[in-house]
Amino acid sequence: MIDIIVTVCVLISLIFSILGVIGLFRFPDFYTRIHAAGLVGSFGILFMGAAVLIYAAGLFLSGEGAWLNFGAHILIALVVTVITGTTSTHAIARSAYRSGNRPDAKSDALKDDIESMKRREEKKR
Amino acid sequence: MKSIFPAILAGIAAFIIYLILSAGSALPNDGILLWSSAELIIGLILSIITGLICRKIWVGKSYRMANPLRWLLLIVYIIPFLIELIIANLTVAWKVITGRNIRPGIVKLTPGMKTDAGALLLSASITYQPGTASVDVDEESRELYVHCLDIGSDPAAVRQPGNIFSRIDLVKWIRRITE
Repeated sequence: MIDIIVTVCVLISLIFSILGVIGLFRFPDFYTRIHAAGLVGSFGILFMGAAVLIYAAGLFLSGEGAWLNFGAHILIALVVTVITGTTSTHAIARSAYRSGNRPDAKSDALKDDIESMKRREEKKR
Repeated sequence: MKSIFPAILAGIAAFIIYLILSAGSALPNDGILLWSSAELIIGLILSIITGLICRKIWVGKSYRMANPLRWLLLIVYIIPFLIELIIANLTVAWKVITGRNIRPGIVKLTPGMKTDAGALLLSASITYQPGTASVDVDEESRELYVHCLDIGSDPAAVRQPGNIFSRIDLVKWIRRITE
């Protein structure tokens, strides 16, 4: 029973990761590709972690000792990937915009404000 | 003397993480609860060193988030966040499959957060959802510039902070947690 649930979780994770990679090729410009990569970073990783957690629960039910090790490590890994994933996505998008990569978009609210914002930050430094 | 409190906090955090990572290391004849005594001693030494190294990196000015009730709310916040995450993931996956309804744009958001922690939590929540990513932050007014995969036919409608998430108003939740 637990084997089936673990397999389903891994399959969902794989499906979303594959869709994310396909989106990397299909989407038009840099900023929209970030969203496709976010698909891998959120559901791809979360469901893989859920699969390991459920596997650890299965170990606990069958009375093996390694479940605590599995569960604790994957919990820490999930928290760390969530934090570093968001940080790196924001860092990539911010540095791309500041180095002159403009999105091909209908409305761009940042275009008017970026120069004054840069100047203010220069002054502070 | 001023940096002693951050050093202790960083040391405690490092020790807790070490305890979680080494849980279940107790030997049959030697160990306290889940941990063997050797692991505990090594963890204590390492966390003291970590606290000493980190004492100058810590830049926290306010200890508003040190309230345990806020941490409890932060854990409860996972539930509405996960519901939003499911909706966002399915929407973006459907857009990848069909290739339709891709109308990207950068939207200026004025959530009116009063603390840095609130702005951090909001921008992190926005970035983690596929379909929206915060590109830049105005550090003084805490305004966010959010790149959306689909701003819809009417860009002005997205500009309201409540509309950046599809169903649940997470901005209100974040305000409850951090203010």
